[in-house]
Amino acid sequence: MKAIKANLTVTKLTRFAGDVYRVECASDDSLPQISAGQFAHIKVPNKDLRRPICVYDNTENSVTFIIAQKGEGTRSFVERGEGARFDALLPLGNGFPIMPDITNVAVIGGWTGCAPLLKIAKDNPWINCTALLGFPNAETAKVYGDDFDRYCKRVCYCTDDGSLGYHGYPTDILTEIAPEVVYVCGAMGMVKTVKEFCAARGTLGFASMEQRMGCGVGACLVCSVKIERDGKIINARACADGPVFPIKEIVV
Amino acid sequence: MVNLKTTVAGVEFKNPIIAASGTFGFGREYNSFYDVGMLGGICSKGLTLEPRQGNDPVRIAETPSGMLNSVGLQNPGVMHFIEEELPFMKSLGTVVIANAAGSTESDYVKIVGILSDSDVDMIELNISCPNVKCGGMAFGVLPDGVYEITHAVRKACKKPLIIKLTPNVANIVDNALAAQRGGADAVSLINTVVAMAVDFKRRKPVLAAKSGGLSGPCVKPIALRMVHECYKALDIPIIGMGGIMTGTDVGEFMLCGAAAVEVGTANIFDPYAGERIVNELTKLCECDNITDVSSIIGGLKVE
Repeated sequence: MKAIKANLTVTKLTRFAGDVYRVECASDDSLPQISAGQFAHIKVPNKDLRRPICVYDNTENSVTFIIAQKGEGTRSFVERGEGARFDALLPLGNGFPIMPDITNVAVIGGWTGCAPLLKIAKDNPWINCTALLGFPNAETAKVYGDDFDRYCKRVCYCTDDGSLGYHGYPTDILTEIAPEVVYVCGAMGMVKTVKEFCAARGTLGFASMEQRMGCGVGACLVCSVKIERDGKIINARACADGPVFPIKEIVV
Repeated sequence: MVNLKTTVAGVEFKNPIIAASGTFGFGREYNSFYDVGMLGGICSKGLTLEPRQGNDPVRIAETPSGMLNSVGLQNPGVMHFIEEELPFMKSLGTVVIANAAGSTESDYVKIVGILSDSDVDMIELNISCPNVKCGGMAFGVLPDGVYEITHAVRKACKKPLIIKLTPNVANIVDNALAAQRGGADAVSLINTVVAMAVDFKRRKPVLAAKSGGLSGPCVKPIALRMVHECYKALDIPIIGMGGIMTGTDVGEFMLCGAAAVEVGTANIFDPYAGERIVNELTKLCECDNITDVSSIIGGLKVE
């Protein structure tokens, strides 16, 4: 779907533990179709470079982002609060490919990395989706409310301190699920474990990757992700070749 | 009706705004946002004889009023460009400039020879890339190096030849004069300023390559000064660049002596920048009763 520059207004901004915000926005114009895993390139106040943020959820005229306040750009963005207006290029990049003949699916994410995964289950209700979601603790899991419980067949919350659900990493319980395809977004360690799982089982896997980004549309070649393709290691563009790549191609 | 036409080295541009090398790919990506054929010209991503993968990430850092990049000339190679990208670029109805780089003099001569036999309208010689270990800026720092590479390439070059100059030099006028002496048809300036960003928490440079090229509005005053000084000394035309974000910025560069300009970092900040800047330049001329934009070239009033 062709990307547009959407003019958005923050309608609801909620802060959760660990300085992670749920930002709901209304769009002036109707939005194009957005696939799970695609992102928006957001203009933040007082900064020139845009910030790539995945689309968590959307309707025809609204879009929700999960934004971790990490640096000056995201801070100035969340500080303006509700009513703030900004523009965003969206939808950008390639999302998670959905296999029409595969129903037994696992989505696996770490904290803010869970955000691009919801739409996989929500937009494809026929999928038998198990969500393995990792968080530092119970408080930080609250940013997603019961969204994953509503759209996934089964949700396993995993926490580093055991305060919610399984005490450990979501990758620990991947073997119990035996999915036909795995979709992952999280720290490199998580991607690496899932890659090894997929390689050992011959399971199809896709990972959403992150890199510091420039134009967001594929022209400036700064957001490199190392990919192994046809026996060669190449610098692919997170923005235009990704952000979702077949996990077997990702150099970990 | 404002006449935005300008001429550089015998090549006519419908307006003075050229998309700068390395910020615009081969025009395809931005063409889905607006008709990039409305630009005066498009300068290709820096090309080398063989494909290059460039530097490891991180390759970008945000800085006050600008950014650093250390892409390191990642490109698909000149033959891929000619076969796969050039036909598309030529179909756009705008001037196509090929930006060419190399590691040795013979690389430069070879690539310019290959491009001379293609449909490109002009060749911009990149002797000023700060992000590659050999070649690149090595040829562009000393006036003798600029003269020698320009002179060597000139013999192989059947297209109008632009020499792109680096600002990381003692006296850019000497380098511009060396390019002119070597047979350049035009110079373009400035390439990026070598610079560094530091991540205090990690105790490390932000860029994997440690240093990179600074661009954006922060370098505009440096570029304006250099274009002004070169204009006074040169007989060949200048393509000005460095942090151009608005139509007024274009006007400032033209007053300093630029016959045309390249817009780079602005494209990265906003994919519609090129179109917006052309429209702003039109409005600027209308408001200022300028009927012919080329009439303002070098018109800076200096007491």
